[in-house]
Amino acid sequence: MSLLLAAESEGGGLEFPSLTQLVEWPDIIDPIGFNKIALIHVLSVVVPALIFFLASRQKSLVPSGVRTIAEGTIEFVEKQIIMQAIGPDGMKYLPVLLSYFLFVFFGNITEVIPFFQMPANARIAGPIVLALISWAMYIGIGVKNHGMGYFKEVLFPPGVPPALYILVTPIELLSNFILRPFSHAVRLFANMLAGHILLVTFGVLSITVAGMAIGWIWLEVFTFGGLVAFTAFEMFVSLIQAFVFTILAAVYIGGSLHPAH
Amino acid sequence: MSIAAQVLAQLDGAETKAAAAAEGAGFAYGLAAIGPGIGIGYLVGQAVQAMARQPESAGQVQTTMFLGVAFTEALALIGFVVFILLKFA
Amino acid sequence: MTISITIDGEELALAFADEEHSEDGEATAEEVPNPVIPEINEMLWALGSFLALWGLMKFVLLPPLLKLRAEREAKVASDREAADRAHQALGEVQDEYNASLASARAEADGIIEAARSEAADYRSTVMAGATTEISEMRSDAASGLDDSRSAAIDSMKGDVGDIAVAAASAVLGKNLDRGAQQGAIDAALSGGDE
Repeated sequence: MSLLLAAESEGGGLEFPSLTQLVEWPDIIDPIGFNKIALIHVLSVVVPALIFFLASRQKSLVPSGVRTIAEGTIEFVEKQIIMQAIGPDGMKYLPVLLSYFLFVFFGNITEVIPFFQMPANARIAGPIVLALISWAMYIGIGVKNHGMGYFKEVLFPPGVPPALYILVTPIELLSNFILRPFSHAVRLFANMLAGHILLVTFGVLSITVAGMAIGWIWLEVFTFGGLVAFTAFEMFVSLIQAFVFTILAAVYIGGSLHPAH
Repeated sequence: MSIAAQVLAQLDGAETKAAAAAEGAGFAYGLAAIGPGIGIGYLVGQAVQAMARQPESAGQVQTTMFLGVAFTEALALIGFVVFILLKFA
Repeated sequence: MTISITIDGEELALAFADEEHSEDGEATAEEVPNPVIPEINEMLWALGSFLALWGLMKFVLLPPLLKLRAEREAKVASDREAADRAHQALGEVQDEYNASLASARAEADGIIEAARSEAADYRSTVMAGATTEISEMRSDAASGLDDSRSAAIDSMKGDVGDIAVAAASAVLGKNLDRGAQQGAIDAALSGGDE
């Protein structure tokens, strides 16, 4: 790229920070391993809890202020996620799904919040923990509702001619019990990591171009413009990924409650 | 990397590994992005058509479209993870 | 995060972490942890905070909001029911009013009808009386007229007989007896009357 060549001829080079610098954080409080990611996780609990606590203190029938946000989120999770994926008898899973949504959303949105600028879900720790909890939940719900016959129903779906079980059962086993949590976690993780790397790239480019000779200032329009545009895009992607994570968890729970086949 | 390329470039063992990793990484994501690209394009096109046929269902169709896009994109991003794994580890 | 850029030999470094920094991204000399492998401390913090959030949501934060929402929906439903009932009552009142209006109108029509028929009867009675009187008067007049006409005819007959006898006696030159010619005169007159 001519940009790099121009920079090199001036004696320097465009240096990208290494990936570990982007995603690994030093411990702030050393003995308990509390780093920036852990801080974001704790804030993902404190901020929603604060909002909902303040909301529940209003006693009027008509919500106003912060209670609108709280009730709006509950309505969103109920109408768009539970009713679509599980049906009316899924209302008892509202606390879990709401917690998923808020936790993942807050973990994602810190990517664009100025002090943090790092999505907590760009480290695979968070998504893996959440995906394992969702995995345990849907297997647990299946076993609780259908007994051990749940495994038989999933691995040997009725309506399939018995000769095909040799083919179908390994696929079902792999797909339902091994790949589901993996894809559930990786979808969220990879989206956030890719977004973070993209934003860092544009940031580094912007800084580099800003420090160059004045004749290159027109390039700043593209790099800074790209940074702004991708920040907006990442806000959107944060919301979408939180929604997709939650609705997928709901679909798995619904699939365990009423096996479709 | 092929032996001829290694010999010509005068690379040693560790550098060969790094070079092969970089090559594989580039191919990994590039090829992984083809399928989801086609899939997402088709999906959004069908969603737009559905919205044009029945404007009242536009909200529902839009939500389902985002859901589908996220699922399809996951496959491309698994390729991205492979890229990260090869390049940085 | 540390961004270190070298331009023209100057180094601009924005750092708030003092980290080992290698020239290229990949580690050939040092051990760089795989960014895809999870760290145990982060996992534990994530697990702990998620369980805390779930617990809080389920037991502390959601019940009041759900209760308020249920209250509000119950109130809306009851208000709507009351509105439906009021609407129904309105319909009933309206029906009643329409019915009474209709009956009043029917009564008024009946009264008018009765009055009209009464008037018609009266008129016909009066007219019948008048007609009878007129016909009586007419017949009286007619009979009077007849009487005077027959009297006039008789006198005219007498006069005509006299004139005829006088004329005949003048023509014949002799004196005729009126009484004897009366029969011939009557026959001629009655022949002329026919």
